Amino acid sequence: MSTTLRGLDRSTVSFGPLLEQKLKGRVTVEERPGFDIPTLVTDAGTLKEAALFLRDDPAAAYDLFLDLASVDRSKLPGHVEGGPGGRFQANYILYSTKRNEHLRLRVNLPEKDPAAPSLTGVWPAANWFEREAWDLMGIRFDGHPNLQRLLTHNGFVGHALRKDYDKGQRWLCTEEDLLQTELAAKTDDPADMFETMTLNFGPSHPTTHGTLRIVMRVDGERIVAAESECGYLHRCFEKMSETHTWVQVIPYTDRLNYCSPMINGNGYALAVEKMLGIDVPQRAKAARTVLNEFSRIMDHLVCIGANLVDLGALTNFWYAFQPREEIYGLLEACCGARLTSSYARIGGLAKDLPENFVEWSRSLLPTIRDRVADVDGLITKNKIAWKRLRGTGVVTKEQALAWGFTGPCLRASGVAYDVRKDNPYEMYGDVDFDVPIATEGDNFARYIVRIEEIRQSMRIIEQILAKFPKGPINSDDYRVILPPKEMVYNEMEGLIYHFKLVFEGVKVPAGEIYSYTEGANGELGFSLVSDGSGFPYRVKVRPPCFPLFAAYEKIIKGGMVSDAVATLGLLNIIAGELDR
Amino acid sequence: MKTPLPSLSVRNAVPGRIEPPLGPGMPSTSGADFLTTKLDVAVQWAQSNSLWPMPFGTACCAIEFMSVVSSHYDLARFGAEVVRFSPRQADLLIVAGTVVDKLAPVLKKVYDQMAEPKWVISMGVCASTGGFYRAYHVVQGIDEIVPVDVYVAGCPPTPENLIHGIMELQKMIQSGDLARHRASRTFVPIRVGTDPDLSIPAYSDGVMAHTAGKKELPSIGETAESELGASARTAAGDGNR
Amino acid sequence: MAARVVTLKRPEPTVLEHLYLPEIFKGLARTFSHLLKNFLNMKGLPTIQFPEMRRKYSERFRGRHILKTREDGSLRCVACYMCETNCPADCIKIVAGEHPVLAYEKYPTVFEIDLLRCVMCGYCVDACPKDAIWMTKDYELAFFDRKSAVLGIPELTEKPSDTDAAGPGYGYRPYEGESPMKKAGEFEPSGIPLLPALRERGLAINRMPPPPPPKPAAPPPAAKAG
Repeated sequence: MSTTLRGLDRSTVSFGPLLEQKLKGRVTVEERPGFDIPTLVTDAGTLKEAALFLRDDPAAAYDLFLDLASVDRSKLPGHVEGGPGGRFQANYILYSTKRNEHLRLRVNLPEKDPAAPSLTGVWPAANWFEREAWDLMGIRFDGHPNLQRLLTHNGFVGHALRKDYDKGQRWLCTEEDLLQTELAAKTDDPADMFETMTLNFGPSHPTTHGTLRIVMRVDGERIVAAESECGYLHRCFEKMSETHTWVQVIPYTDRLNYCSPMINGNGYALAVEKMLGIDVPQRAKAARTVLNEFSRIMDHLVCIGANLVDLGALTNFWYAFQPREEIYGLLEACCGARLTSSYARIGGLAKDLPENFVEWSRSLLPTIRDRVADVDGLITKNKIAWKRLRGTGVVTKEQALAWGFTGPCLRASGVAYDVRKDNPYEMYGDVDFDVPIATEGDNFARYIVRIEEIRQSMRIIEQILAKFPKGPINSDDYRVILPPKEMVYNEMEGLIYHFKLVFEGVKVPAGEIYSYTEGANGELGFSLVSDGSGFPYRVKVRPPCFPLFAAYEKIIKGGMVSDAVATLGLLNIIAGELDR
Repeated sequence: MKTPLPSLSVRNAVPGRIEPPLGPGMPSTSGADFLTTKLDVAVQWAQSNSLWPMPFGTACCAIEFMSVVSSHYDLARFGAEVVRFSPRQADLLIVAGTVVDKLAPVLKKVYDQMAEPKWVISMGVCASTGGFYRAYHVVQGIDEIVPVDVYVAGCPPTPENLIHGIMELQKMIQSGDLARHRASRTFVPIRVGTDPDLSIPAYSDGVMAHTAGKKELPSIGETAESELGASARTAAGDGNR
Repeated sequence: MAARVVTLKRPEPTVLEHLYLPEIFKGLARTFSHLLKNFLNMKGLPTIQFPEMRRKYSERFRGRHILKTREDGSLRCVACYMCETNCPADCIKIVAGEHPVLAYEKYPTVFEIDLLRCVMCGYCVDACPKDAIWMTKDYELAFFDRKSAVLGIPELTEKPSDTDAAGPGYGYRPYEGESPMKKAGEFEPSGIPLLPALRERGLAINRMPPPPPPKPAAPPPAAKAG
């Protein structure tokens, strides 16, 4: 049971002395175990100064704002009411694309009126994350331009992720409680009436692929202003996680990004495995990698296929969905369900792979290749597609970083950040693959990056299948994973382990972690906090879509309404993980 | 006005739910004589084989719905391939995915915009009961908001299962039992108020009617019916409640 | 073995591509080739003519549950509440009773699964220590009302129709093939000792492995940039 965990040498920050010099003891470096990311602790008064230092100093250069994970510590063991440290914590997760390092910037906030300065001015990506933290945790951000509820509606009372909020308390939402933007109010302004009009877009609209809503102010067909709203699929993943055991959270993670459920399950299992300090056998790693890549292919196919339907190219939808159905066959043979796999387990996988897994997987690749070639042949050189995709929805490199993009959308803007490349996990370190990037940052770039990623995923799959490891699939640590059935049925000790696992759950040692993997849309991060019991104390997901959709209103501004549709599809917003 | 809904914290709780008085079912066109009866059969046959679905897709089930309409399962074989995204052109509402409190007014509005005769399929457990999201922001079954004809279990249901549900609905329409079925179906609108006798349906027309200004919730005891006159209800095409 | 960054170059459109029509015809050729291929090979069409033709799902398919029975027809379930505890959807309801004849054993007087809550995750099958709950490949689960979706013991108990030639067959289950459960005479409560086996691997049983020690601080960067 080795602990092959990366980042052991990063337990302290390299720019510590410099920080010490600039901010004289107002920022401390917290001791973290090796598998977690380094952590700086500061107070609300110094936060902004520290943030500016971290962003601007070349020795730090944290240019990407990834996440804001808030914690209500009131029920943690050892927490004293009104004691030092405060009740709330705001953890800013940052990343430096230049130095390939993650960092957690932590602020402790008091119980009474928790307030921190807004970092929207430092990293524009912080905007929606702060709104979310205000909505669900009740942390106020001073200086925020628009601190309103984001995921819940205006009829909601209280902050749902606080530990004293009853998880089942619903509030009635009427139409008046939905987004009432200033844009909409302007409609009645007679002076403005003939120039521009308000256009509501969604939440029940075919191109929003679920439940997104954008209110636009349009001048003819040109968008002069837009405001987007999410939360129409906020199904309380994070609160639900706190009331289920660590293993029971896995079915919930499947439903985050439902186009590629295996990736979410893997990301979550990996995070918990790191906290437990266990490692899974090579075979499980290989299986997870292959299934991850198949999921990534499926996700990209849905993104491209569905988006082309919105643009009027229906044929591609059939071509894109045919290989998807065949991959479903493989996934179903592994886990028993087409879409919601529940296949990952902490310490391995739910069941061993089917016997013909390797041959089956290999047999899928030609179909995928053919159908991708079909889509490629129909679209990539098609003049209509150029007109619709080239030069629309442009996001420059600087904008993409400022808005917190990750994944294919960031790579399409010219930043080669891919967790699989920069911090390999599972078996990504053992394979050769290309990370495609494009420099233009428009919709066409996002399209060709995705097409190329499908091809690279197939390359990864081929390489792993060529030397697919044999052996056990699961860790043999029965405090973590259910023992085999012959032990449970026939032996007292097997039964005891089984019993303890089912009734008490996996006992994850108290602590916290930020663990990240490459989702189909970008960096999928899990900020987990454990209090040592069988239930997670706090689960915060860093959904890759969230910053993408937050920036959407800025991307489409000035463009045409029809381009907004193309942009929305190729950003690939998945409401399940956007709203959680 | 902020209105709390009953808490779900009690295990399996459906607090405050009482069966509403059920209105008449779909108005029947059948008469006493032979010709109109046969006409009825012909109409039912035509209706059942040309369902135009409107997918109210919100989450994972919507992805499976895409599979249902794509080449492997091909909903066109059942005359239901004309997927309309405008409720006014559709007669079958397929609610695929979780409906949360924030989306509830939207679903209600979409349903109200559909013309009679209309049917509702609740695809997947989230739409049917809330599934495993017993949480502060999730509607515990869309039958809190709209009446449901067929519930399709599964998370998400396999495409076969949804087709099975559609076939069951077709049989129901063809058998002419719809009015009787509708009288017996479970439509349990969630209610506001602590006293079950005095509580009012949360998503009644009175509250949901699209009005220009802010509208206060009617106080407890005031029924939804008193909000609108009988003529207004008929005009809204809302005869079955 | 490493990842390489590749910048994708977008081709500038050629004159022919600018003309729009050649590419359209190329596209049409592609779609028509599919049409032709399908015409020539009607059997190979991907469409599954559902009620008549059925997709063959694997032996792990998670469909409707069944409760397994012993040889004498009684339920294997001993009402231990493990599946109920492990169910993330809280959709199983068990009421335990004491068996009138076999007084030493519990059995379920009520065993209900609400299929409209169930998310088909298979956790109940994983949790069962008595091999009492399996799943079938039955996926045709549509209901006209919510009450009929709650299956009780009569509906859940395994029937011959579940496994005969026309039936759905077994789906997700704890093992495939021969049951690893020993027969009544062979069962030894103390069993094969697990503890020595774990000790052999050098694992302390009730203690978590300590987290890896943090490495000493990295030396500061040699030259302060900027």
